[in-house]
Formats: sequence, structure tokens, C-alpha cells
Amino acid sequence: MTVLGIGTDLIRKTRFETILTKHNYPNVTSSHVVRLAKRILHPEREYPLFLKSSKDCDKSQCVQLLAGSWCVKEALFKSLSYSDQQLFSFKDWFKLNDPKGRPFIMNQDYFTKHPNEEFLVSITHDGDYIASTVIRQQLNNA
Amino acid sequence: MNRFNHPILRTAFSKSKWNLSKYTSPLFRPSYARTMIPLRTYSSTPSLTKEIIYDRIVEILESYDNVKQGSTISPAASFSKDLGLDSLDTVEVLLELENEFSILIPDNEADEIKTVQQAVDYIAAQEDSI
Repeated sequence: MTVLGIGTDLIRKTRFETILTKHNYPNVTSSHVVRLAKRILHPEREYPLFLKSSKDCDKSQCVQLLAGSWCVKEALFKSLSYSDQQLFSFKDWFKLNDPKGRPFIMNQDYFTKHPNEEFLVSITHDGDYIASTVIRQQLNNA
Repeated sequence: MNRFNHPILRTAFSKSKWNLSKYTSPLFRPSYARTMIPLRTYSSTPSLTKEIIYDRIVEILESYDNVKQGSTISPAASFSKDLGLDSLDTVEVLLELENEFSILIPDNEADEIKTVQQAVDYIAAQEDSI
């Protein structure tokens, strides 16, 4: 296993809360917040959950989704090669958890292009803060 | 024979002023209807110059709280290096610009906009920005 890249990010959830409060979301619709969510979240795997939280007027869940997704994808971005960073788009990636709760990040197109790579993901929360670390490594060719 | 079909009365009617049928013949019909044609003009919006775009962008940046205190906003100002904006701030600013100029900026093109001048040039190049 060869480590190819590493990235980390720290985000305060309040920053997203401020944005939502400024546009009175989810009490009223806001094109700004919706465009932000569509930019960050995967359209099929993450955005529907955001929509559901919006309909339930669950602001903290909306913030959690946006902030958590942002954090892990920023960390991932930093671990990519320069050429892949040019092609990077937040919404191409989505976060999953394995049955024991360990997170991992997925983008089918990327893994088709780089079949020998894998990402190790770790996320931590403390109150208002979310931190994430991602290691990009090359699998040994068997 | 009913009274409406009386030959003398018919002749009398056809020559009378109440007979309007001759006015419907194509030879007599006026060539255009005497009705009011609604005519509306719309004033065009003033053209969007780069100076106007720049001023509006500066206004947005000045009202954005996360811009570093004491930084000067200039065309060459970089969002991250000069204005102290991080990646989330830059995304927010670009969303504000989308709202201000009624355009949508695709993600890959948004990543290329790193300075104020690049934002001005991008918006000026969009045909539908207002």
C-alpha cells in the first residue's frame, strides 16, 4: 500500500446554520440554500435526505447533512492529485457507512478511472465542530 | 307566400338604406378593420458594462461579513489570498453573484473564478446576465 495523498478539513456547523438562518430556511423556500445543497450533495444519495429534512422543518438535520458532507468532501479534495482536483465536483461523491458505522466515500466514475486506489475516511464531531481526515492510497497489485 | 318574401317589398328593401349586404361585398369592404390595434413599446434595460458589473460585485463583497477586515477590494483581488475567503465563503459569494445577476454558474466553471476580475469577465461573457 502506497499513500498517494492526504487531506483534512475542520468546519464549524454554525457557518451553515448562519446561512440557513439568513434565508429563513427551511421555514421558507430559498433558491440560495437549494443551490448550495445541490452543489454539495449527491443528487441521488444525499440530496433526497436533505429534501426530507427540509420538509420536516428539521433545521439541525439540514445543517448536519450539509456540514458533514462538506467536511468530508473537502478533505477528500485535498488528497486528490492536482489533475483530479481540476475535475472535482462535490456532488459526484457521496458518503456511506458500513454496517458497523465506519464511513467511506464513493464515486463510481473515479474508481473506474483509478481502480487501484482507495480512500480511508475518518470523521469526528465535537459540539459545533466537525473534522475529517482522508487518506488516498494505492492498493498493492496482486 | 309569407310577407317577407313579397317581391315588391324585397325590391324596395334591396334599394333601401337598411340593406347593408352591399357593404359586405369584397369590393366594398375596407382593407383594414377600423379597430384599435394595441401597440406597446418596452424600454430596453441599460446594457450591462463591466464597470456596472464590478460595482455590483464590490457591493456584494462589502456586505459579506467574512471578508477580511482591512482588505481592499480591487479587480485583481483574489478571493482567498487578498480577501481571506475560504472555500465555503467563495462558494457563498458565487451563489450571491448567481442571484444578483440571475445566472447559473456550473461547478467546473465556478472553480476557475478566483479573483474579482475573473468574476467580472465571466458575468460579462454570459448573454443572459442582467
